[in-house]
Amino acid sequence: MLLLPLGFLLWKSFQISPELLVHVEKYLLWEGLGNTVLLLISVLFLSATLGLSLAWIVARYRFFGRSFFRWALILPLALPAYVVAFVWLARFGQSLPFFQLSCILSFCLFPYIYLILLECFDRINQSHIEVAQSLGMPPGGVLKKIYQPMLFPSLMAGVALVGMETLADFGSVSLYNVSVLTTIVYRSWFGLQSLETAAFLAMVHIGLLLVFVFLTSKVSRRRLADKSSGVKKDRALKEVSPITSLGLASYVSLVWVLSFVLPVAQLLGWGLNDLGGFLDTRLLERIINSLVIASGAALITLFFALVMTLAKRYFDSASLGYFVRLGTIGYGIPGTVIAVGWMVTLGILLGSFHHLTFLALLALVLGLSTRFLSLAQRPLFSAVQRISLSIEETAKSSGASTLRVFRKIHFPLLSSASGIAFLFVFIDTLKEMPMTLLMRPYGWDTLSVRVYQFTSDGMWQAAAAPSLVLVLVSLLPLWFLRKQIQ
Amino acid sequence: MKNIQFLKKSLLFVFVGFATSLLQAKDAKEITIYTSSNETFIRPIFEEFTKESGVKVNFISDKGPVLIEKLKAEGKKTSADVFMTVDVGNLWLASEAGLLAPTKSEVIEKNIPSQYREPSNKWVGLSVRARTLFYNPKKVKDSDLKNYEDLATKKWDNRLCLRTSNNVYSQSLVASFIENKGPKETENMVKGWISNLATDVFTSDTLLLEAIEAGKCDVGIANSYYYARIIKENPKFGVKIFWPSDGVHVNIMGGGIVKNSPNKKEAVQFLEWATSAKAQKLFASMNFEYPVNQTAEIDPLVAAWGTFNADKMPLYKAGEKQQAAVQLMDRVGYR
Repeated sequence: MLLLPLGFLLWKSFQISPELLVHVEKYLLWEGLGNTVLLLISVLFLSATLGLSLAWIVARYRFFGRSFFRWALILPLALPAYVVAFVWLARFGQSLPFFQLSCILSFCLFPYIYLILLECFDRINQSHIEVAQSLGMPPGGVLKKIYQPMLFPSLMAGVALVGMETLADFGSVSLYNVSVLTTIVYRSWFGLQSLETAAFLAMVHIGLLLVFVFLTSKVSRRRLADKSSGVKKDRALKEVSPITSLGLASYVSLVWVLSFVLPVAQLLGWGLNDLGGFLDTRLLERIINSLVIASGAALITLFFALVMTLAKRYFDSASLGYFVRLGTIGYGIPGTVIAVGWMVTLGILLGSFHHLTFLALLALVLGLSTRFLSLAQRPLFSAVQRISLSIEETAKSSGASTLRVFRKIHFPLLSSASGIAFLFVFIDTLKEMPMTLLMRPYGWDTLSVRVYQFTSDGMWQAAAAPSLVLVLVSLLPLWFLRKQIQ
Repeated sequence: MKNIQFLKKSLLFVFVGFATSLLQAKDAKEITIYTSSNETFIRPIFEEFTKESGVKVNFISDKGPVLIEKLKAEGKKTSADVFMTVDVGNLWLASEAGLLAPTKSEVIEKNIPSQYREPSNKWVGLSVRARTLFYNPKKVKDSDLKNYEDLATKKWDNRLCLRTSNNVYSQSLVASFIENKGPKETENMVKGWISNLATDVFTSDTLLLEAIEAGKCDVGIANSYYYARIIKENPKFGVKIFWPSDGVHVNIMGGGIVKNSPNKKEAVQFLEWATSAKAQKLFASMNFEYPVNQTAEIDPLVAAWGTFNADKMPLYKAGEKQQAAVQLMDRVGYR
């Protein structure tokens, strides 16, 4: 399903005119490529630093407000990056665009790394550490020998998600007029009026994406020497002095305030200025539509991801591994590009079907699943890697059927990762705009489409009210996750 | 025998039922519109059309070029009857791609001046937006300003604000100069603009106008309706509008009948209605633009800025030159 739209792009990219190819190579390509790589590196560095340090602090130390922040630090996930970007742009102006953009994306995306690592920290077998420490291993050694092999798959899973979303971002980079691959794809398509050139640049983008996906998976596999039993143990929290506690609390709350409270406060300020924005007669309808699409997409994507993850587990072949990785690159492709590829494929096959509500919804949800598969697959995959093969083998040798192995071993051990996977897709679908805009049935308005109607035309204050509602609705599933996280 | 009678009767019943349902389906008239207009603005206008004509309107909204690809892909299977989009470049592209049908209609020809129509009415302008000069009256006198080309002279060094060249309105402005003055002169002018920039280019006209008020620059180029939106909220906004006397750059929001439209009759009915003085008033005032139909009323807020002398160039020419314009802007480093 993902391959069809990509095939369309590949076919188009071969038709690029030589004259435009020369032009793009001379004026657009290298700058765009350079900026993309630079932005990717700075966002990855910043968000990994934030995610790792926060997960470590929250998982290991007892400090003031810990149980609140343990949950609250995932709240920035509810904020779409383009909304945060227009808030920052209005607040800080357009100076230092590159720096601002790196901060915005890192603040919006670090929760992916944080959440996946937190789940991992919780599962690291405390007894391993105690044994190591009692045998006189220095802290550095503990970090290297025990944490590193267990953390790496999870860290890389988070890093891969953040990297892919950064690569795919168009909304925030275009607000700051930073020339990256996604923006020159659009410049070629809308400005140079050449879909062929845009398709060519999209192929360059996908090439970079494949390199990135390959690198992250290579690094994570190389380190995968040890596998924990994955059994949840009591967490031993370190007691710290009041001053250290205060220090930790202020670092954590600073990140939280910058990444979540400030943008929301600004939106509230605008929203209260323009209360009419909330008096939207179709509001309830929009909320329900958003929820229907998000739950449908999350369920289907989770199902695909589970099938892929377990298939890879049961039939561990190299070609299947490549196929699975290829299947998840949709997350790193700009939303409009993949939406148009999908739309063109369906349009050629079926014509327009927006009047058939169910069919349009099905097409939309399937299209979304090609885009968000990675979001569901990464957490599941890193969780399944931590399930020791020996457990399975023991079960099988004592006569358990495959189904029974799944039910008794995989299902319980994957359930919390499945929850995270569902949630990631759910929230990203709520925030998703281009595919929803293009594929929805007639008259189906969603919250993200409403936000787009205003932001597309620079009416940011008017976008505040629907953005706030979008954030509130995204907070609902995060609230359900609260118990599990705390 | 009785059985056969029964069969006949029931067949007749089924047939009548089927026929009436077909008739009903035909009776419930509806059209489908692909539009790039903001849904919040356009929905009330479609509802007004439905109220007056009884024809229901389904619509999809997205960016013009995206909808063009959609029409291409759907081909003969499309359910779209009317295509509406902002920027004449997009309308030109759609008609070049053979997606739009020529329309013979005296009503349209009477309502819309020929400058704002494709010669065979493949597309028709429905509202006009002006891209003109704005200045900070504390720093610039009305008499200091002349036209777009003048902004490239030394006098405006470090005083000019521009919007990003990724934006279609910037592209159309440069395209119209290529058509009017030729590529060489245009390139020199754009180079002059770039060297006069007071700050990085903006990603929105609203931010640009606010920068002029804040004194970050003295003069800039923007679409008139962004200015109108700000003035509506804040009548004391400290920026003034200026109309170059030798021609103001205009662009349109327009529409045309889709070649494979399944409901051509209703589609023409919609387009004719859309050019009427009454509908034109709605189209223009939804976003503080100018009506194309000269008999239609202009929003008082907009009318207060006085009249202007629009560039006489047929608009589709700007569509033809858009690719060249973007390449030119790449060459001179207009971001």
